[in-house]
Amino acid sequence: MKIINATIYLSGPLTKDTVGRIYDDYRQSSEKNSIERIDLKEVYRIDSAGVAFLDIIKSESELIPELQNVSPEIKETIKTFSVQKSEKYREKQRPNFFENLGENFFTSGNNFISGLYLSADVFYWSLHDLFTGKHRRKGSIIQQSVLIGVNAVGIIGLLSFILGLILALQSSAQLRQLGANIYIADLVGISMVREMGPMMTAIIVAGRSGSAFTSEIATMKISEELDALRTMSINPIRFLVVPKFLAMTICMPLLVTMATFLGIFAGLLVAVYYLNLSAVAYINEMFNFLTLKDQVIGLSKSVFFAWVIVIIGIYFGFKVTGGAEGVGKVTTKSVVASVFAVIVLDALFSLFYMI
Amino acid sequence: MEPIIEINDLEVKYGDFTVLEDINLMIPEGKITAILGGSGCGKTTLIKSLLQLQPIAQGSIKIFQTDVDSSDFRNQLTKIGMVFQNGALLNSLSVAENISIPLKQHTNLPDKIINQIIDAKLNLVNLEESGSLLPSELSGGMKKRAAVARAIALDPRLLFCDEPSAGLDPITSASLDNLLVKLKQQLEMTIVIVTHELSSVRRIADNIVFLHDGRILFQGSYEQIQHSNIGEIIQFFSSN
Repeated sequence: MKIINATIYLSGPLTKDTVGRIYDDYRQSSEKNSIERIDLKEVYRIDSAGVAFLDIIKSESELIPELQNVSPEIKETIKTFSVQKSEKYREKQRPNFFENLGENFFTSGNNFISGLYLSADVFYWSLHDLFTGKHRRKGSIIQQSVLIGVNAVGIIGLLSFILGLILALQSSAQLRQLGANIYIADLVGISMVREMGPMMTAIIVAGRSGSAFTSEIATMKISEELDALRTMSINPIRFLVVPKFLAMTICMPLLVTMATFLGIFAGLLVAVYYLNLSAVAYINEMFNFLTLKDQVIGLSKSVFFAWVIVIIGIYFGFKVTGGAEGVGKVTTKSVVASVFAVIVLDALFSLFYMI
Repeated sequence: MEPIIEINDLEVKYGDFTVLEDINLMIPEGKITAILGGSGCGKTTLIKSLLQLQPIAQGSIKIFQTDVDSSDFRNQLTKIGMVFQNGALLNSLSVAENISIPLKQHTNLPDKIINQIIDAKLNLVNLEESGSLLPSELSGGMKKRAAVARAIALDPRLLFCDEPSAGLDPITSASLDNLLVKLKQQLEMTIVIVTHELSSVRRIADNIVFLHDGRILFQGSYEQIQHSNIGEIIQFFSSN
């Protein structure tokens, strides 16, 4: 490339492999703004990168440079790829901190209200179909129970046992100093039955089944399967959500009961082997201390947690937009919202039963 | 003239099911070749096999005189563009960013030139105003056009198009056909399209390959295939 008397002379191939170097030379030239002519006599090949370069020369020059010595073939290619940029891409305006805050507040409020409508729908159809069952797919509740409950027994059992061990070991060190070894039964028992059993199970189920509900519904939505159901006059809530809701309502208390027993059993092992208590003393103390009310609180919590996880899971599934990335986003949001809701609900329960 | 694609005794299977067998084909350089055939005859599988997106059971494929199984073939991929049936745009990136991927990955062009090329490619497919949109914000036809723009970002020597006109209105379909012809004439691009749109084939194809039940029944020009007396071809043309 050379510039003589306001004419830029280009030569050789003007393609993606050569344009980068030529463009660098052009940028360093002091005469680039006063180009009046572009000579293409020695250019024998041009592609879209070459045409893009010519367009840039034209747009940067104060005058409109004239093309000269252009072969008919190159002229045709220039005609195909030349574009006069009329406007830049619309830059997406970035909201400031307060706009973000406000938007998040309103979005959360809208989510909550929409969630309530969805809950009403799910409760109505679950109760309705519990008695009629006509529209339910055969075996769908059992299938969902296996996915939600049976398949989760291993991981929930293991984690509850470990949690019971941690609780017992941490408290036994303190109780030993006070000579109050026997109270380990009360401590582990009340913690597992009222708090840790239901909450830990709910958190694991939220991460395991809640995320699965969201991704399943979201994938069905983006692949238009939900629309297909609607066009067949099938209510997706009844067809897809009700079996999950009923299965979750059945499985969650059972999982919590299992988790509680395993946590208490872990406490028994610590009491027997670390604190030298007898198993009978541990069990007697626990039965004397725990009341039916504690059991009812633990199990009622588990049912509420189950409902919250299902509603949040499917709500975010129905809200998905975009493609594969959208599914990932709503699944993450769903798990975070479920865990948050479970903890807040647990706090409300504690407050309610204290009053 | 050397063929740009050379296929010998190709056989492709899905499990035990044979999708393509006994495929011997030479695709000439600088021409538009249309692969025709009914649904499920193996057209898309054939294209995917050429690009190693589908493993082959038997046979050999050479593109640019290079065996597609060889390690050298990886370097040739920048000379090949592919328009997938459903567009296959990356949903997390805008249309302009989708087109910029091959330009940024495979060239040393400055951003200013890259942006100008993106504008030119968007202009070619009539998506001038859609560069900042996400694929999820586009209609089916717009996605297809955006996919074409991305496939030709590097002005490839060889372009594969899987059902390029499907889902497009007749005017857009015709303008896409014109674009393919321009690319062939001006950049000497070789184009292989999989389609069952006969109007499109008649307009642009120099060479037609007719597939039926995984086998090639015919190879020749549009005029020749119209006068073919093969039963399956007569049935295909009469039902279109």
